[in-house]
Amino acid sequence: MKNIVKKFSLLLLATFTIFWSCDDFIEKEPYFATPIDNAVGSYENLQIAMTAVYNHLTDLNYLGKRFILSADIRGDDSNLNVENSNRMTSQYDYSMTSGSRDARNAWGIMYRVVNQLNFIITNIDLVEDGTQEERDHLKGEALALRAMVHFDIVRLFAQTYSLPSSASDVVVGTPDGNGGHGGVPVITSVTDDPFTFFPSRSTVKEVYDQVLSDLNASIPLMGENGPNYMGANAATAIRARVKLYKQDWAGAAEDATAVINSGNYSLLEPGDYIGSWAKENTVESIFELALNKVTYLGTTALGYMYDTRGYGDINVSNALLALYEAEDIRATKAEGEPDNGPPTTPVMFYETNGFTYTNKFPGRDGTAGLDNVRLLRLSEMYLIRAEANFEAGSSIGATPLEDINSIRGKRNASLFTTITATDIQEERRRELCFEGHRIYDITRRGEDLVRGDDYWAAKTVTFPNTDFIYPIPDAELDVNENLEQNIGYE
Amino acid sequence: MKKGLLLFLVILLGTSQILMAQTKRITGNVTSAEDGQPIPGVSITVKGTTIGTITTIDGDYQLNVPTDATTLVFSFVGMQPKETQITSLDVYNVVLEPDVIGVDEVLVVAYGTQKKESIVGSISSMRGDEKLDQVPISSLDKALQGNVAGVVATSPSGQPGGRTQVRIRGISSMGENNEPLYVIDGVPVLGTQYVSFTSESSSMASREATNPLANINPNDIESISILKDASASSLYGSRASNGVILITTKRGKRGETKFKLNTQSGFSQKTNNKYDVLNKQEYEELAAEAIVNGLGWTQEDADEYVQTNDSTDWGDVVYRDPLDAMTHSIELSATGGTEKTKFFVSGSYFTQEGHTIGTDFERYTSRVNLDHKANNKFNFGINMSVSYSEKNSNNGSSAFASPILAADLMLPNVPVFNEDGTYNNTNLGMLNNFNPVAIKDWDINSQNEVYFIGQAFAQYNFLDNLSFKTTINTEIYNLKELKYSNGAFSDGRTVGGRIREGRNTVESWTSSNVLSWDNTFNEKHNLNVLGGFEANKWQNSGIIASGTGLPETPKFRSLAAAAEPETAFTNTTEYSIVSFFSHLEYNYNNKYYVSGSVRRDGHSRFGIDNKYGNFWSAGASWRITQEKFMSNMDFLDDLKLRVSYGVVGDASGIGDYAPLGLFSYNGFTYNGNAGASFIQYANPALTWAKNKKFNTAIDFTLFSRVSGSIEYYIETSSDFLFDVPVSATTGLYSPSNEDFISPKNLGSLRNSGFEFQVRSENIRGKFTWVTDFNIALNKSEVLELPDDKDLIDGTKIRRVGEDYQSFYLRRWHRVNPDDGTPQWLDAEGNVVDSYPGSDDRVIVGSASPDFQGGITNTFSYKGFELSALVTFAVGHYIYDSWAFVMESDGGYILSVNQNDKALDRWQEPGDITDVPQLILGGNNNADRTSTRYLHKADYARLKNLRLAYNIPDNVTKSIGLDNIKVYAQGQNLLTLTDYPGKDPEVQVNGIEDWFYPPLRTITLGLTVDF
Repeated sequence: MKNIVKKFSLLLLATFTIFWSCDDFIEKEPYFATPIDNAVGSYENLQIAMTAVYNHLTDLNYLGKRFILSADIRGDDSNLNVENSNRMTSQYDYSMTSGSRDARNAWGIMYRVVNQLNFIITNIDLVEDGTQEERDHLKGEALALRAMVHFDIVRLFAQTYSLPSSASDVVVGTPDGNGGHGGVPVITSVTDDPFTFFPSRSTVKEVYDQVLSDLNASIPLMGENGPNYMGANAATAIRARVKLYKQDWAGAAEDATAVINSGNYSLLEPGDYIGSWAKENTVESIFELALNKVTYLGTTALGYMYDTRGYGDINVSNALLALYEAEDIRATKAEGEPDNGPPTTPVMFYETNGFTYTNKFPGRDGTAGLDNVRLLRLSEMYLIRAEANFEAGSSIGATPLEDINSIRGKRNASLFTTITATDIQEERRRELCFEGHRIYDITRRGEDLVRGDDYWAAKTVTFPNTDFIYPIPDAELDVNENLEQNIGYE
Repeated sequence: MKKGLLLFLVILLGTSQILMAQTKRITGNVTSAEDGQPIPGVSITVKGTTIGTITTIDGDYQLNVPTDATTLVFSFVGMQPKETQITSLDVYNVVLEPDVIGVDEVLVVAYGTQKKESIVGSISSMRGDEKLDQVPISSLDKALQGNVAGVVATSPSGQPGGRTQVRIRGISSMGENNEPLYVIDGVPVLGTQYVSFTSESSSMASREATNPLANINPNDIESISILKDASASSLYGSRASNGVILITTKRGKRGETKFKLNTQSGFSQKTNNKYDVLNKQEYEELAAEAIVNGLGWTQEDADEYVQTNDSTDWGDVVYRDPLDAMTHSIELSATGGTEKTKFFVSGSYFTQEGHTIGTDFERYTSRVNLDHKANNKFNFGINMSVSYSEKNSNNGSSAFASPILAADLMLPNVPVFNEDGTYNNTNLGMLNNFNPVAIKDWDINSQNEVYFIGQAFAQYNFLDNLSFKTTINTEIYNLKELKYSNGAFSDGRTVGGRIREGRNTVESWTSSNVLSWDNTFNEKHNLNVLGGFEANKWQNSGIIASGTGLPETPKFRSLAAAAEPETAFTNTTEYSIVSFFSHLEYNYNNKYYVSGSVRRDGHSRFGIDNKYGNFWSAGASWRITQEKFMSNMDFLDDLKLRVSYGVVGDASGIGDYAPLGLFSYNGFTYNGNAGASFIQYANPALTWAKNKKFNTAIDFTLFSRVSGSIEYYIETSSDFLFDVPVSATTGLYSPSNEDFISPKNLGSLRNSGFEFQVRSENIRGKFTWVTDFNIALNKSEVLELPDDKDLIDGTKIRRVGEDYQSFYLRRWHRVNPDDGTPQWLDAEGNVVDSYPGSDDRVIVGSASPDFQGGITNTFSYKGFELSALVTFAVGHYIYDSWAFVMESDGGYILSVNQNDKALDRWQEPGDITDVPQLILGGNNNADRTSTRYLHKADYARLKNLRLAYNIPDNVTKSIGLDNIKVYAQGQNLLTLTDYPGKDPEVQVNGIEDWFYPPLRTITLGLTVDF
């Protein structure tokens, strides 16, 4: 009996001593994550943070799909099929509202990337491991990507840079032809308190200034790390594009020249062109996001929208098809596979049930949707330089005619003898269709969007127009009172 | 603290020395004259001294009395006191006579039991044999609905083994979690958990939550106590805010071994046939009309485009005939024991074929509850239950592969099978490749669960009235999942088939140690004190792997066969709690009662600035009928006034690592490298939510036949662990949730209301009629928000001064009779022709009912018993979140079917209807979120109807059995509602989704005691 008491007391004693120092007992750290201090505390870890940036770039609401798609679906190269899965319908028929999930998700993911980059940019100078060269490259990479994302946000949510002062009724702020109207928040630091962080809209000019300043700072810091990562040439190529939008013709032509003359890239030979779309990292590729069987987006991939094995929602417009000469390799066409999917013959278009589909997203290894995201190809640099030189009446690097013919020669198209502004824009469409450019090419040039009767929804959107941009999402406006909604979405 | 430990041990060891005095040991047992059952808590004193003790839960007592003692006094609330002379005998078994009716009820309370009369707090209880034994439910939490005032248990999912949402006195937290704490045999357990992967990249994150409670055999339950106010629940401290549900399992009883066999069989079907989709003819007519209106085609062209030679009622395809949706159960239990050892052993099997094709649930359970008395000082025991279940489920609500979605969306003019007998997978509109029959035949979506609860306890009685009890509780919950999507069609077709396998384990242990002391002074002062220490650690770890490229074979199961690995993902998350608590209770002469509790909890989830929280309560009650001045009011058998106040907490809504600033490694790879992405800011001040609960009540018993209580409560909860919307520019965007949020303690919410519960024995005698009625009126009001800014959450708004569940929507006006276009109201109430902006949203009703409750009438005559439970809820609204597809404006009509409200569409000028003209491509945003899809959802439902017959004793005895009962019953037999959707019992937030519908279940059963 006494014995039991003793044993029992011992048991009690043991129980109590195990838990008495409870402060340790109630400290827990996660398995799946690491504290911020550690995540940004070394070059090695900042490099890991940078990997996540690229992962976010491939998000379906950003470059993985919707950002690219929205530029084409709002334009006149694409025709949404009458029978569609109701993805992107509101962009196609210009019926977006401020509650749009697509607007909310685009806004969210792009600012998440900016914030992640700001963690890298604000900490890279504080870490001591890695070589100076490695740290510089990472910093440059982060700055250039921050520029790219800000540029994409301002293109999606704000009116074009050159919006004239006469367009004051379609935009918040004061347009002056030089980006004086409402842009988007520019975020260059990480906040201490997310509950009180409510930035307001900078002007479009202020956004472009930050973009260019980041790019200018980034280029000297960087080397090259292949087309799957941001590098000096990709940053220069983006700067050429930004300057083209800004109508800084000389600057655009000079940057394009720098990339063309870098010797890193060359235009594909005609025999390699069609097959290149089913390949990774071609000689033309300046910057493309790598996706593999693990990371590609499956049924939410960009290619899945176009592919008849997927949703097959988007047809090629007659207007675009009419721009090609028959012998242009970019116009090759065949019947699609009878049980869906692109034909086995090498073509850029295929026809199924009387509708024409693009074959720019054939899917690698026979998997619909498994394509890299092509963000910058060398041919765009020729097109930028041609347009910039044409507008400025200059011939930096080459004449517009030479540049356009450089592309056409490699695509088996007949060479031009003279050239007009329209020729250059039409060449852009022939070359860059479905790669996320069209609506911005229309708006930055102050043109109207005109879709004829062959479109499922005949549509004319005259410039300037409130419809050319996305609404600031309700979810942001509900929280952030410093933001003003875009006209037309209030 | 270390000193405290020493002191404790000194007391503990010291007291054991007191046993040395010269006394005589008396033992015995106290039972009730009414039913022969033992009575716990009976006070036994030696007359004229302070020496005394109380009986154990089995009615046993032991007492060391001085050798010169002459008389023992046995007293117990509600029982006539009894005096017994002490003779030379050592054993005195006593039978107590009841005082008045209905007072012998003993309730399980926090860390003990108590006579109902002495309870100061607000506790409702259900006895297992009345409410659980014969109800064909797959999970015990489903039995709460309608039986207890102020408790709402909705089952939005009729999925066999699916989850239940339980809310006590409304929604007390603005955070994620409003589920009560479940305590089984004294130890907190998992309860309803959302056991799922929490990674942004894991595509299984959004699947249906599992329900560990579905793994407990409802027949093993002796009683359920629901602790509502602070006085009753504050001993559970930081986990008590949402109320506590105490579940007590059956224990062995001394005597010859008794067996019980319970078996039943039945079938299930849909509850409501009001809701329907278009049939082939209707669909083709409307689809052609939409084409004509939208594209300007001729009627002939449009007809030709849409018409086919096929016709399918997809509802018939997807929902099984009742006789194919069978439920069977069989359960055998045995109880018995000796003076020293008692046992309860049970085993059960339950199987249910789901109402939807491809769904079923099978459960095997076993339990051993064992008590052993080593000697008069020391006893110990073990409660062990293990269950195993197998479940085949649907894909989630809005997944393309969900058959419930298919029943609604599938075009009615396409066939299930092609002419050659193969599955039709190519002309199904939006659901191309998702033929539900093909998916049922080929794909797998299965969950196997093992749930183990083992409790070992030991109790040592240092003195007759001082005892220490320690319990170690171990829980292991294992979930094994397999999901196969074949490569021929379905989700897996683009990747040549996919298998995803998951294993998820929850491991938890709790050590609970309680010292308690009772005493009675001068016969009139009764004191009960307890102090305790508890520690709990919980860990959830999961692993998921998937691969693609599989043979095109139905029901393929081997992930090892996959040609390409796809995902490999693990996640582990854990928390720990350490607690100290104490409780004191005193009453004077069973007339005036006071009680107080305090608990201190330290929790790993709290930020470093707030690591420990203190929770407490105080209460008092007055049994007015014990007063002399009431003695002439004969009709009033019992009248008690009670009041309580206290503060409890809620740590459940917060993530395990919420106070930490973090970068996550989950799923941020690129080009073969691992990435880490920022996911949350540090928040060291993060702390528990508080709930200040005031409760007052009157308990009464009238005319010896009507008993009940009226309660009024005010619960003010604050500092919720709340996900606050922030600006996306902070980087806090979650792709999986499509939102930008961060957790923060904020806000205040008040729930106040009345509860009325009454039991009336209307007719007694050979024919009896008993009515149980309960009704609860709860009003919620948001008191405080950060900066008093509105928080908008989808279709809801949290606004100061408004109901917590307020819908905030653009107002639908009507369809313009002139042209069939939609019209709305703007904020000022002006009619507008285009979809209003976000500023035009207004509050238009709440998802919370004004009142709800249940009424049970039970009639018995000779061996027959008929009982009917009707539940009801009034004053709330439901938003049909998929109506924008099913009741669209023609926008989707070529790719999905519509529900039959589309037949009322506007066709020509002058038509007065609420359904706009159908136009392919859409009619002016008529299908966008607005009050067009918000509906009043008042209902009354015959929840349970049961007819039972007890075979007369002489018959059963003649065949050697004690008792035979046969019964038939139906669940959800009848529903009265104007709600036009599928079923008015949806999830608590009032949002209808493509849920597995609640079912009407009819069963026949047999119970045999022998």
